[in-house]
Amino acid sequence: MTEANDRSRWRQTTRLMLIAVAIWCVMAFVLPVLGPAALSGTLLGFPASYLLTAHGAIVVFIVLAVWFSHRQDAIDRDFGAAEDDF
Amino acid sequence: MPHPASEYARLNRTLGLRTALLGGAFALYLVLLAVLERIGVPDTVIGYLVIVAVTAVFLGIGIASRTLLASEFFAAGRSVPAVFNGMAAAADWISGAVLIGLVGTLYAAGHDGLAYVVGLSGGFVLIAILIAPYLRKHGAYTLPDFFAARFGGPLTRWLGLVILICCSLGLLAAQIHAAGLIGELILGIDFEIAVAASLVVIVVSTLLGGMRAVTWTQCAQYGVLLAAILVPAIVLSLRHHGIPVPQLAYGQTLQAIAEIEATLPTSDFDAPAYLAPFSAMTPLNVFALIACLAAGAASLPHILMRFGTTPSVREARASANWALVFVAAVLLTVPAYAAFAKLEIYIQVVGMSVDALPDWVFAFGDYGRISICGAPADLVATVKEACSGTTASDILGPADIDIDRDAILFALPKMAGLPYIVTGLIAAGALAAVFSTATGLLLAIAGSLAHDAYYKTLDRRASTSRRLFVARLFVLAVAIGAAWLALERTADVLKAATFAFSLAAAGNFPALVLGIWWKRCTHYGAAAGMAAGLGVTLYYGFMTTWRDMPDWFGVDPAAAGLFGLPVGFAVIIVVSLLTPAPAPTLGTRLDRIRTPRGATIADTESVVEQRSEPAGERRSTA
Repeated sequence: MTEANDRSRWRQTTRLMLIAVAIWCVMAFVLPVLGPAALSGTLLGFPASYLLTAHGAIVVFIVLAVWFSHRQDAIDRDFGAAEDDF
Repeated sequence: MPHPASEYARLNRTLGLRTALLGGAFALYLVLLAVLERIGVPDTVIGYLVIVAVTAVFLGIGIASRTLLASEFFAAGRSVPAVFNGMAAAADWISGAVLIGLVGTLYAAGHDGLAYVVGLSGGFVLIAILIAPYLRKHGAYTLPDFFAARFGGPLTRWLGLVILICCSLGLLAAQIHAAGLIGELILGIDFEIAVAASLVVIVVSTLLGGMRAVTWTQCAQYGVLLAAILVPAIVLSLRHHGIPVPQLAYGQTLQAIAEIEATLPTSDFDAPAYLAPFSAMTPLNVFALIACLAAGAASLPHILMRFGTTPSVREARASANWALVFVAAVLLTVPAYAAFAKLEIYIQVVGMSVDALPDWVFAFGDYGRISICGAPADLVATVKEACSGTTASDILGPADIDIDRDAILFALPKMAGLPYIVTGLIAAGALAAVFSTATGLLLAIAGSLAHDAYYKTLDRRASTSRRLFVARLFVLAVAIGAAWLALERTADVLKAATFAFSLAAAGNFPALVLGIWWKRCTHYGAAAGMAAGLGVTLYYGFMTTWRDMPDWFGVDPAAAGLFGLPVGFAVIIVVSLLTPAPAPTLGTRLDRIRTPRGATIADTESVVEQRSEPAGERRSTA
């Protein structure tokens, strides 16, 4: 493991973190605050903004967390920084 | 030393089997009690049978997990698989106060209550992305210990300890208070006796086994609390909509609520419409709440310490994801539960005359939980007298009815005419939520006092047995202190809990995030930012609540972290840039924190410091 290798791994890790946090902010802040004004009509019997806040945010959080973990594991493996498998 | 794959798979299988057996036994026991109820066993006996049995199982797991090793007491031997650690973290997070308060808030605020759902779930994504893997790699037993190691000085350790006590002690008191409420409402025993009894359970499950015992009891407690919220919701979903998926079916319940609200005369209707956005909270407050809850989850010491118990960095990240899934299962169901309760009130109470009110109204009125026309609804005559001369004398409107929102969780089975065993199950679930969070909090406070205040400051040569003895003394002392605080009855338990999350977020979150992600962050910067964040939040909460200071931009005092968080970040950045860059050794340590590969840092450093510890101490660090 060289220093350049380490720096490059941390750059990729930081970029992944920023992307994930940005997506998180959209679901956690933009949707609940601006959603009700922008969305109307019903979905699956729910008011659309209610469904997207109550169910949509949680589902996106779970998908985001799983995707993030896969990407981070791949970065760690590619740069030889992952733990030995057990 | 990594776990061999086969041993780890076997551990997972054994734990899975035990979970299935315990779950099956619990289900059978509930069926047996339902039969007993059918043949005429009185309600109170059923209530005791559920609660005593469940509590005995919790105590049994706690006693069976006793330990004499420091690594087991503080970090469960770093051997808890991701799924089970996630389950325990979810139980840590869904506290009794949150469960009781969330149902009540969603019942009262409808659409706006969803801010709690988003904030309470969102925090675990931040934990997985920003914090858990790095805390696990460092492996500190306490959060103040992590601050001291990362920033290289005692100042952040002491501030971390102050923040920990500020946020955790209030939260612990709120939990014990919730236990008193459950004893009073369900078992009909005195508040003080219920507080004392729950204190014994909490102390016994923490004292002997520390983190190891707390982890395994929390897994069982999560199961009970999920069952408690799911069973009534599924039964009512089947009854109203014919499908057993309340999370998707309750859209029709919401429509029914909206239709009833549309028929009510508008003059009667000063309660906010259930589905109208921003009728109970301003958009700014929705934003503030979500920020404080999510950052609070990612800053509360008892939650973060969970992620030191996994075998590896990758497992720590995975267990944050599992925690999110387990929390989501509860948070997707609670809004359905609240909507079912709202509809029952609209059908059975609103639009009725006083004579036609169902019996359960007076049962809860007797406990002072329901008022009608401003008078406690204990007898038909009282209500009639209070309502006479108003428009409510013939037909009750929503504004005439005042239900204590903290009682909604327990009231729904009675409203819907479900068997008493369901009420017993809900009480057991709420108690499980209380115990799981209270034990986690108690361990975090006592562990930190023993580790940071005693071992790292007063007596750095203390032997393991002495450290554990001190930790257990602190468990006792903190529990008694919290119970004493709990006897001062707080008004709104969810508000009290949210303020504790605000304190944790404003004090810890900026220092954690910048400490891990910004190398230039200095010791003085972090200390100044922690003090400023905590100070601003405390100031706003205190001045608006007790000194009649006008609020800033209408922000709820419970969400005071909205001001503390940016102040904390800004102060850390400015002071860090004004003070000399951190020593190169701290930079090297941060590089190791950021790299998953390699030994757990705190464990290897304690080997150098502590040559006298038994060899068994240092096993199984992946």
